[in-house]
Amino acid sequence: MNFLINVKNSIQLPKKEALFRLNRVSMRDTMVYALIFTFILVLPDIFHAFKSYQEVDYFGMPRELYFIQLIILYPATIFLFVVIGLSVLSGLAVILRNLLHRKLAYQQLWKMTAFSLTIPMIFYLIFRIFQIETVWINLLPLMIYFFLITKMILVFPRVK
Amino acid sequence: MAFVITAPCQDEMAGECVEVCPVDCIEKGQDQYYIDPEICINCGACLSVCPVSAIVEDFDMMPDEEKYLKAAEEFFKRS
Repeated sequence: MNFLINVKNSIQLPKKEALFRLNRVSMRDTMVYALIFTFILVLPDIFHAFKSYQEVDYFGMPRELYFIQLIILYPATIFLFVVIGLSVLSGLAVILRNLLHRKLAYQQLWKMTAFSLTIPMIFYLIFRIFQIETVWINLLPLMIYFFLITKMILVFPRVK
Repeated sequence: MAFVITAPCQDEMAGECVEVCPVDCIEKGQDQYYIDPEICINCGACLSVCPVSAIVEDFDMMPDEEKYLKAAEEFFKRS
């Protein structure tokens, strides 16, 4: 239920009320949110791999091992990259914060980054589901993210 | 509307809220930290970092916690 509330608030970003509601979410819940979202993000790939299992012989790999790899190891690996990606984007948000003269801690920016990626990732997911191969698949989500994070940082007053 | 720091802070005084407050409205008192209700923008950044859940919203306060809001108002009147 918390996940759905967080999704609803994330979609409303960069509105001040939504941002302040998401500020109240703990770091643990933010990680859970990112984990669930990662799993949703890789679902098209998992379905595609399930479908193609019949067609391809993975070096005689047992079916159970293949499915475990697909359902657990693949999302776990992607989640690791998501955490690294979030940390890098938060680092860029620190530069933005400095340019905009706001006082925001790195952990706050990390959380804001995690939630602000909801809309860009929905776009990314749509691209993947419809298998649209374009340069925009990476560029558009990033542009939306930087727009959102800038607006979100600007919600806070300047440091006096 | 603002946040109020209540009793659990008196045993802990971790001060993590001070680091994350974007408007620097939290100050250290003798026995606990205080939030200036005049400056607080109600952003909630402090709420999620408090290790002892000592921070509450003023409209969520129990009747016996109202003294902490008065104490905060007193603290910032003096300083």
